[in-house]
Amino acid sequence: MIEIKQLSKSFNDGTEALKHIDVHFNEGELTCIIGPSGCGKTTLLKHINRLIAPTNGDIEISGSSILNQDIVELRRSIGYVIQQIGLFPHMTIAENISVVPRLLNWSKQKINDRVDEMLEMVNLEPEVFRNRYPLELSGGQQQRVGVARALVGDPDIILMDEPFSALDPISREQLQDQLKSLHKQLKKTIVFVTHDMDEALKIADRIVILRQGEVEQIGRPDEILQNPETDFVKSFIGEERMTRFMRQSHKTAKYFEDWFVMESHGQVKEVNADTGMDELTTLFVDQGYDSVEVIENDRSIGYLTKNTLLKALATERSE
Amino acid sequence: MPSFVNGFYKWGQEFIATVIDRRELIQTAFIEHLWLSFIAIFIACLISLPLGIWIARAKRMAEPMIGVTAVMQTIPSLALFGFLVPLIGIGTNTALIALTIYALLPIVRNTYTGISRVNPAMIEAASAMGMTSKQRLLRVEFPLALPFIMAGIRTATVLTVGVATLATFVGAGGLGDVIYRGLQAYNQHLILAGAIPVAILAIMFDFVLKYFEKKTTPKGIQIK
Repeated sequence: MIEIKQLSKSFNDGTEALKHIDVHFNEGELTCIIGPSGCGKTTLLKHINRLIAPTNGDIEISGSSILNQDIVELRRSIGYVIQQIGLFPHMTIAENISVVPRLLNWSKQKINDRVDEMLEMVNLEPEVFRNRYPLELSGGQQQRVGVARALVGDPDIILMDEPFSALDPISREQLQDQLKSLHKQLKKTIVFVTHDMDEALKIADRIVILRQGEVEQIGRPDEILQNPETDFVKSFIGEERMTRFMRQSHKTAKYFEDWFVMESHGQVKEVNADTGMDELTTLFVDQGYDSVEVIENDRSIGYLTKNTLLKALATERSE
Repeated sequence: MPSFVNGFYKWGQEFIATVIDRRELIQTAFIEHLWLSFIAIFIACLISLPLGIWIARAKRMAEPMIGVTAVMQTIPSLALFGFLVPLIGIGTNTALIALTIYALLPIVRNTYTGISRVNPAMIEAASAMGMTSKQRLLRVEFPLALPFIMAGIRTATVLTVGVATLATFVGAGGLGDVIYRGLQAYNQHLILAGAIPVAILAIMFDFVLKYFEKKTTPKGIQIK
């Protein structure tokens, strides 16, 4: 478990990037840190492998502070994947993956076996990719190598700094799915920084929402979706995401029958059971209704509220 | 046959006669010139590479150090040779010192630029993987900066081969000897018999270094 205790960071120019952050990352969980740009999410991440030194506070891994550990040892025991991929262009794929093993002086045979194993794990054929150079690979393939490189030393902790944000949507989806299944399989503690709420909801076990260097809310994806604690969280996940989320779906109101409730509060609007998501979105988001009463054959069959609809969509997505 | 072709033909014959006549002088001068240039470049590399790497790390030293080497570069070469004579006397050492000073700037500047221009993401990745600062330099920064550094060395080499013609004024020999004799004797053929080998030598050096550059540039960077 990684524990961040009262962590503060002020940069030389006086900006306070982090203000008394208290948060922990559970063992074996994939935690997303999310927030708008400049909220300190990357700064927080880089404290964990000490790429940035804290102004105040402490970071503990498995109960002992990392601040007086040997920095090189610490970093070799933590996998790291960065946004711009960060593969070394002058090294082959195999060499890139084996940087840490070579620093640790593994035997040649062990390194070769491990490299092949890693390439297979991220679905790249070893025979094809081993001796290629990073610039010969597509962005998605490069970032797979980046993930393989982070996993090669079998670290317990992996830090990922917006690793998929520069990829095209299709590769991004693929890599998210792969990361999720890898995580299920390997049970590493992963801290994943992103600015994409969809990504966070899709892959995270827990989400930490940051804003201006402070924690706004921590919780499981569905908890955050259902009970956004502050207006900021609401606006950060709520309207924009909800709109996008809803409009992507081609379901009708009737489809969510299982989620209907029998009573409602706030502003209600009557709609037909075959009302599409487009119209529902407009009602909830643009016109500010809290729930709709669904009518089928001139009979009310229940109420669909904004929150349950969101929850329904989120549940469906994560399945 | 038109007269100018005739004249040119005659001129060529005379030139070749001069070269054959003075071949021992030219040969010795050529070898002296080659050694002077080579050793000066070698010493300049020994000084400039660590210096360039150092100022790339200690950024606030960069401007002053590059400034100093740039100022040395602006001293007219002839004046620099003259200036060193009362201090060190005449001879090969004086010439080597002057030539080395001239070769510093391009190498220092390109080493500095090359190392500074390495993508910060590479540095971050290297550090985050637990490379020590030395490992990072040798395994990441230096290989990535190598094309820049080689370009600096090539510039310095061409420069040095040219300036080395002035070594004759401090009694260090070289092809400047041949040119100087030609100048004193108003002998065009002899001047050219000194100047053309200088050009050939510069091209030769450049060619060898180009080959070396290709060899040392990591394959992965050549793919673009």
